[in-house]
Amino acid sequence: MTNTNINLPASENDVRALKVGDIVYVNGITHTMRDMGHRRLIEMTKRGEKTPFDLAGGTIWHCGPIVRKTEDKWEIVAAGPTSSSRFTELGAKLVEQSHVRVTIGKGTMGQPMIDALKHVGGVYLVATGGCAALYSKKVMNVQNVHWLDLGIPEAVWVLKVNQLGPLVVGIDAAGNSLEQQVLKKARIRIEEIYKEQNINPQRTYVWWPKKIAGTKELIESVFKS
Amino acid sequence: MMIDMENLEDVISETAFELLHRAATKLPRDVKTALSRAYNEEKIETGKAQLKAILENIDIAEKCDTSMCQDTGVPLFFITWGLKSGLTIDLKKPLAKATQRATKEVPLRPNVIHPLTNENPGTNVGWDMPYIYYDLEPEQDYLEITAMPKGFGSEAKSSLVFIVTSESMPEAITRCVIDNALTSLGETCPPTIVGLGIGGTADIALHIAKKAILRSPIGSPNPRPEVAKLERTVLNALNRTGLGPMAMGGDTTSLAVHAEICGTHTAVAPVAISYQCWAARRSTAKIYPDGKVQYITHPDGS
Repeated sequence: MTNTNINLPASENDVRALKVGDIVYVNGITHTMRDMGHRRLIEMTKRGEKTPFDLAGGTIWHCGPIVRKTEDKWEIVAAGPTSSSRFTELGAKLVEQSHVRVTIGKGTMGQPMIDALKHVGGVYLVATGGCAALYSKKVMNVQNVHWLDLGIPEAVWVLKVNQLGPLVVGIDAAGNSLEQQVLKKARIRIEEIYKEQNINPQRTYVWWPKKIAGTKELIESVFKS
Repeated sequence: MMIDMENLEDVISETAFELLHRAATKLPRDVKTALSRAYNEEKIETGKAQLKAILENIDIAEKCDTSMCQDTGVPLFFITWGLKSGLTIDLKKPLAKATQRATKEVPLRPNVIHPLTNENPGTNVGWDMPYIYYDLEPEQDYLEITAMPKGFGSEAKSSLVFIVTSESMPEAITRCVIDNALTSLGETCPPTIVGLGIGGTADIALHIAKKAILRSPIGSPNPRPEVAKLERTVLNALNRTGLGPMAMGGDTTSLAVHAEICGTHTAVAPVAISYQCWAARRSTAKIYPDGKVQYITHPDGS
């Protein structure tokens, strides 16, 4: 595990040098994006419309900040990561479409993101959840804001950051994922615990719900039988 | 002397504002101590780095008087109404006023929206938010208010299942908690406090699970030995998984497991699991009949 400083926009070489578990600090420009920002960006691109900002080779931060307007300036009060698994499909599309090199978020991102990062040459960096006071100190200024009509958390904030971190490499450009490494170790531990406590991992202990409403699995199981 | 109604409304509003403010910016001392202990005991490097960032973050938020997390949650108030206090007042108005003010002045993120139309008034007030839970205490001579700004990284991983009563409950519950930890991973922002609500009906189980995460001080056991034993078993299992802080590998996945029970139906028992992220934001005050206010979790503003 190493500590690395990366200047944004990051080059393909910079991100390819990072390995799962490395601790990274980044300097430069990031765009915040949440659910509604992703949706609008993908829809506009689909319709062939020009977006007011360019993410090519850039950095996305899954973050909905608290901001305060002082006279004619925006000030970031608190800015930390939000759960990134919500953006697995859309985030992967942005990596493929715009070669977004660095995506910063919280938690894990699924297989489509791993595939996209491996294909294009990008990384997913995990910020420590809840640490909005710490990360907001690393935001130097607000350079611009787009799509304020989506509301303050959902708008796209263009932020200049200095030493934003600590961030841990969650998925590297070789397609390795920290999640898979952690789960591999957890599996061995859990097998021990289950054995000691007489818990059968093959059994269903829950009577209801049989399947979760609103899922593909429910419909498939109902009509199969 | 008994406070008059008009002044009482102001006292409640001012107190509730302070509770939201203190909860958002400063953790209760018992939670900070638990996080420091986890940091000191952590042996895995990634886990230690997460806990270090968390402790630094808590420090900065306190010193700069800003929210420790950008998700300042939805505003929940838990009231214990002492019947001997004689304080009879509609709490909705002063608590809404406090929430609106805290949203502007702390500031809190305007999170509250209409669940069907996405309309956001920008105040965190509307459609029964702030939400107020009421309990009555016949012998108590004060009104107790706890503010809980509840973040949704953890809230959105809550679960409710029904387990047949012929099942071995401790094993079934441990299995459910571990399964949830394996699917939610870092999204609950571990190290978490896990609240278990066992028995009652669906809504009772979820409610007592939510109240369990408010138990203070953190880690204090349920007075019933069979429940306390389950708490220890589940906590031990969670921490042995090695998922750790933010599920990036480490020794402390959860700071505490708090379980509550309620009598239930002989056929099946509901089991609810509620999560509190490491940023266990809660602040409590007592209001006495003369209008005197005593801050419990955050005395003298800290």
